[in-house]
Amino acid sequence: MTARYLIFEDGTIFAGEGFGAPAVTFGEVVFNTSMTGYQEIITNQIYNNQIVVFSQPNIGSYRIQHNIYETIVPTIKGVVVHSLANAGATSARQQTLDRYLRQMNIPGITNIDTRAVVHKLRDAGKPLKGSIVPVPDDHAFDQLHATVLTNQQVAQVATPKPYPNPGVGMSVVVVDFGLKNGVLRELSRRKCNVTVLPYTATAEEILRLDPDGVVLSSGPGDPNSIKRSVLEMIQQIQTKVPLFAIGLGHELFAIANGATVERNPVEHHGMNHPLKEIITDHIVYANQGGGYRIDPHTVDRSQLFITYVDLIDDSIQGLRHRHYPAFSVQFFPDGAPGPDETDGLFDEFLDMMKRKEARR
Amino acid sequence: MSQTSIKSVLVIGAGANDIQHGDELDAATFEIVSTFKKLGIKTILADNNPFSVSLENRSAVDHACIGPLNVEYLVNLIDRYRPAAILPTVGNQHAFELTQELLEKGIIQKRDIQLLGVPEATVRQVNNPVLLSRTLHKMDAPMKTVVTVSNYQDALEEAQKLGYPVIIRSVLPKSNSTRRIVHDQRELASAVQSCLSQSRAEQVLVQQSLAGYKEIEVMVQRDASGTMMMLSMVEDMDPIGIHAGDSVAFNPPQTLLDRQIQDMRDTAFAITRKLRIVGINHVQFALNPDNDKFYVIKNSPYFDRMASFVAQSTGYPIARVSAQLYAGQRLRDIDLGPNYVHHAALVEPTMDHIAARVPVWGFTEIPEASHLLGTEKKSVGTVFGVGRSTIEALFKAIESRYREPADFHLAAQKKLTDDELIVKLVHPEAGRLFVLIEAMNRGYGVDELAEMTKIDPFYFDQINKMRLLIKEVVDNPGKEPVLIRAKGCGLSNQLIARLWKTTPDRIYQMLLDHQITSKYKEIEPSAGEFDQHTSSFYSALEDENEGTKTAQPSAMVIGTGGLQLGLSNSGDYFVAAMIQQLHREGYHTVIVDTNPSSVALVSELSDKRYLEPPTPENVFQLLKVEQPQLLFVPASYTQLLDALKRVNLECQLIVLPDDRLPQLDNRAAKLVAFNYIYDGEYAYPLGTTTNLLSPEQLNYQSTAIRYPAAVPDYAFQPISDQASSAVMDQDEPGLFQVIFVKAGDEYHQVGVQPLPLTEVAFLSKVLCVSLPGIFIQLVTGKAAGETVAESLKRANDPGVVTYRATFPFKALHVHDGVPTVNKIIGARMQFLTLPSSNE
Repeated sequence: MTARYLIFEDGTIFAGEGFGAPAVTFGEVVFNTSMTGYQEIITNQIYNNQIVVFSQPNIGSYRIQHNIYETIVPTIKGVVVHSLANAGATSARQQTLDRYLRQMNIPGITNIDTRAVVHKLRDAGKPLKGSIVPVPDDHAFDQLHATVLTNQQVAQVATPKPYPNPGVGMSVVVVDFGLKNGVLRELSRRKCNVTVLPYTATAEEILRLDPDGVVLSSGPGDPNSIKRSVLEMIQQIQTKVPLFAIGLGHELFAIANGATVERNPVEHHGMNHPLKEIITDHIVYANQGGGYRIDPHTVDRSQLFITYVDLIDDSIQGLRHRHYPAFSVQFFPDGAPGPDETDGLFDEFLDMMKRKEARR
Repeated sequence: MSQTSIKSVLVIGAGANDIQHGDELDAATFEIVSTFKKLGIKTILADNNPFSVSLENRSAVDHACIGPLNVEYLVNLIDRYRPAAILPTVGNQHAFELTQELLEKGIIQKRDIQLLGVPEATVRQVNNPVLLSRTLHKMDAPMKTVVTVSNYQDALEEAQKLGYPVIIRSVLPKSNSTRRIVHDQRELASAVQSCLSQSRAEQVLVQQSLAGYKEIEVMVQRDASGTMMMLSMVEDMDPIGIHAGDSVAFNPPQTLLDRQIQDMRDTAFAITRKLRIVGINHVQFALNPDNDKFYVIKNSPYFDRMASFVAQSTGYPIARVSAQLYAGQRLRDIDLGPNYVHHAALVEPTMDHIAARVPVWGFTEIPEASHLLGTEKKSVGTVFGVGRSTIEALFKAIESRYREPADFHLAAQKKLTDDELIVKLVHPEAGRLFVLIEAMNRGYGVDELAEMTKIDPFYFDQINKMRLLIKEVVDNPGKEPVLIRAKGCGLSNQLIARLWKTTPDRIYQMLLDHQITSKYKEIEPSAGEFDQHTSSFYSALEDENEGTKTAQPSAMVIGTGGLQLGLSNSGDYFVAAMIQQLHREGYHTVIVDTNPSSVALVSELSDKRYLEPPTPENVFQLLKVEQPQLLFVPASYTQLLDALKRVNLECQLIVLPDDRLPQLDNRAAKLVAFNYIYDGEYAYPLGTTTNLLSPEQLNYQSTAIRYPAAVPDYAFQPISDQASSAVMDQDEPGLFQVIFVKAGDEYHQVGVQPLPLTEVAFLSKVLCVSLPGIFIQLVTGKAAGETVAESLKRANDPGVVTYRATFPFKALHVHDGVPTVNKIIGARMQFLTLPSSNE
């Protein structure tokens, strides 16, 4: 393996060895504390523009599986691990993590003191820009400093064209902001007839399909950079059909209903925080990954109420509309990877659609 | 901590150690009773294990009751102390059986005693596998299929449905050995025929075989309000068919997909909820990696080696939290203190390191036991290694097992013929890892080996890396880059020195020259997300160092490591009791140990813990970091002691007498021991002990002891004088015994030896005084023999007390095993004449 470096905008250099594609990339560096599901994490589009540091040191200990991709073309900017366990390497037929990243043009770096990187990111208290480079020279740092990360991430990862995922049950429109396949998987399990629309779809375009419900998908980046028309779409849709919003979708749902969303000082990516469901007082765990949170002071309690909170950082993890059949969660109820304890939310969404239909 | 409504708890202790459990239950008990104390709960601890640390935890246990672990004794204690609750989860399965007897006698109901941890119905299910499997079936938990048939045709049909191999068993068998594994139709016919003929009901069971599947262990936790969390999942390297305790085990799992993990998690939660368990629950699964199907094979809602391994490898304080759950607190109300983040008890542990646990065997002491591994546990103890990669964790774990016989090393495998090797691959034996390495050396491929052994190919990839690394080291003597790589993978200086045909000192010097130094990383349960501190560390060749010098003055103690036959956990007892005294004397204590079950690793006992193999290089480096005033090393660590003697130490080295002197054993004669504290000037008597006659063999054995010895008056004074002067001839202060053999009416002195640790533990409980504490006072020069003698004089007469060692002969299927001191796995003690107070 060749030498490769993880460099930070503050001048810090971590030396390691390269794997995956020999590409030079720039991105915000975030860490993920999950101990399972490296493939699902790498293929989650929320990591567009981000370099992910795995705190679990041994990554790639089983080979890439054909049926657990969360997207077909991942756009994560880099994978940082302590020990690359390149399972499957002995057979040319098998897809290894190294081969996969090479095909996807994603660089990886191993033999990094990932715990030290996690500490650095935790203590920085703000997002840090970094780059994976072959030589950590002035040129590399100049480029890093000069790079302005795009805020048009959703446009990069969302589908430009509608496509169907047919089923025989309820008709659901999924508005794609950087969809995670887990949502489609959960809807398929429930026999839904799904149409995925670009995030630019208008309320008219959505309602023309006469859906029983609408899902706003998760996606990467800052919800405040999404154009105003998307918020208008949400404002209309929630009055017409049941709405379920996840991740970035949840943030947009909150903004569309008057809340403001702010950046987390340290992004939380993992699956071990206790989340309290307020109505039942139950504690559940779920896959979480996000850089933004809703400012609780800006939630209009006459319109919305809070359904879930993270007990560690007190962040709002779920909202529900008081007047419309619309609700949202910050975490990923589809798991993949992560606990299944909140996948009942999809059933709740189905019930909501059925009730709506019965009233028709 | 908030107050609770429970006023007092009867804790059922674990009794003598055996193959199934070691010091982990004592460690859990210690933490639980200490937490109860802080919650204002009184505890009554019933146990008869002379090596128990908890029985001497006087600041926490209100009534330490030494007596036989039977229902009569427990009823006696219940009548006397009127406990409000009873805790069966730290006493192994036996405590559940006792609890059920108490329930059946109506005692628990009559006294309105609360059961902690498990409701009544669950106690019965833990004791009765048939009841449990009925419950699991009702809740659709995946279980292996078992069908009852009464003829060959039906058996064939069922076997074809299940797929071979299947297990055929008689229903209501006339004899015991009627379990047959059947691989094809031909074998089926004869098995069904013979099992039918053996069955009183003329029926046989056709049972799905899970052999060869992955064995996965899940530790979950639930509070009284129903909140559940997963603490860890552990993957056993060896498949079903080899007892989980004998397998190499990894936390976290190395080869599992997320969906497999989540499905088993869901099932473990469902079972725990159904059985209304409060506290921890250990669920074991068999996982078929080909189709993701899994089966529940065991459910244990009590403390065991898994709980201690998980606690030590994650940094999550399981026993402390469990105690609060038993006291009725909810997980969300538990505050783990300033070293943890708010609500840390509710954060599922996540790891940024890998822990590998390996078994420790007793075959050196009991060579006649079969080394073949199977569904019955054979290992007597366990050690673990923590590293940043699978290989590093494994190398460190192996290094921690330094007392292994030589044929467990790599070199010994070279002598195997190819046929012998194949036999060992197919019929695995203890020390299997080295056989696997040798097989790869001889050109077996990963897939081939995976097929033969049912071990996931990932592990062969790792073994192959280990092998290639060793080869690279061999081929490049003295090369710095190779040295760095080897150290990064956890290879010890000893191993590198062996491969380079040089001395560990030379390697150490080379590391210094190249400024290659290990760093220390903290084991805390958030993988760096939070600023949390557990004061548990492991080393790694990394950038960032989290280790700092402990506050002074400090004492560094090398623990006694994995449980070994002979000492049982008396070594661990000694260390744990000793550090309590060091603490009282104002020392900050630093423990180096790799036995996850060790009481010495209980977090409240010491200021800092290093989970590192006690190799000379590690100890030298730790001495540099910690700069302690005192260093304690068990005498059996000869390699380490030799290395320490070659350098100028800046601290005082104190050797713990953990090696026994076998020349005083194996003597089937009446022996009398006069026991003493020697402070350098005077010998203060601790009373006498004598060996007992074995009821079966009618010979005297040093593994059964009585306090005091019955020495006739005419003989007592002369031999007592002789003994004390022999003790006063010793060079160093310490705890000693002088042994006499009785021949006719004469007593002849046989020798003087340091008081064996097993007897230190026993006498401490007999005399109600911490002899390890006195040992510390002696070596730190604070001893006041006179005060000790005074307090002994004031103490009540304990009456006659017996100590009987127990042996693992039955568990290891050794017939006619001869009990000797080096084979002791546990012990029981009993006060024959009840003293007026034994608390």
